[in-house]
Amino acid sequence: MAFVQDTLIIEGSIATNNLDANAMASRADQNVLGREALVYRAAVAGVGNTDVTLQQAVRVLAVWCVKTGGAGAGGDTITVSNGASAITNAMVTNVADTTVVRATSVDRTNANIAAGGTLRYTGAGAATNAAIVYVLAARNSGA
Amino acid sequence: MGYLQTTYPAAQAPQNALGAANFASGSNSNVVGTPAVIYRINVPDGGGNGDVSVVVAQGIRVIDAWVVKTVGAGDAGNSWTLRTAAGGGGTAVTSAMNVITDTRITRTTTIDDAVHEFAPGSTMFLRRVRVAGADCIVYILAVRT
Repeated sequence: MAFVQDTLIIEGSIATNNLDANAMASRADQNVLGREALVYRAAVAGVGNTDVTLQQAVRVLAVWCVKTGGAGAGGDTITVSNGASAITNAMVTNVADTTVVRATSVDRTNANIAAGGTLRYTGAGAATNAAIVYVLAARNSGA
Repeated sequence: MGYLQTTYPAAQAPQNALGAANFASGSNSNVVGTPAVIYRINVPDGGGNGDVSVVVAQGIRVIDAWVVKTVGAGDAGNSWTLRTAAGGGGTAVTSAMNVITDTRITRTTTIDDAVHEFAPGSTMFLRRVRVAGADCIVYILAVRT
């Protein structure tokens, strides 16, 4: 009959355009059933924090930026954090427009964000620091 | 009829049924994660330059792409680029990815946010520029729009 939380089932089928992280299971390490990968994203523009309060506990797996709005400038960086604790290195966005900049480090000790925790995107440098930041994550059973 | 806020018993959970059509779209600064979807495109060596086209059933945004070389070594002159039109036309969504050695991975170094979204029913064109040994698998990571 019905299916997972917050998902409407019609005539025994799964509703379209509906499933998101609410419907996904959490899994442990060495999982024999694959985890569904989730994407969080933010459009960073200039300097400062973009804070997002997550509804589910997740583990951050990878992070990358796509430069937008033209070239960056010296000192431009973007960092993704769990609240005030950095998860990634400061990704240098002093690059040409459309360039993909990937995080080269993910701090395992900060990568688990609790439900209700803050996923923080921090732009530093200059007003030229514009990018779309993608965070790949998976549901976590807890922080 | 529909049901809300209820749960399938594990034994009744539908299997092998979920696809991109079921997934929600996301927005910037989303507080609930958006499921990622993968398109995988097997590119044969072929006889020259060419396109492998994929009509997407749902609207998507391309967020990453990479190439895995298959069937032995290739040539430094080979490349694969996701584009918005056939024949090397339109606009490049990704950089021209090249990988020579079998089993190696090369990731895109650019994504053009002006053309990174494909509407439902539109076509992604994977452009192959071939010198020799251009077999590969291209993976496109995306989210629903």
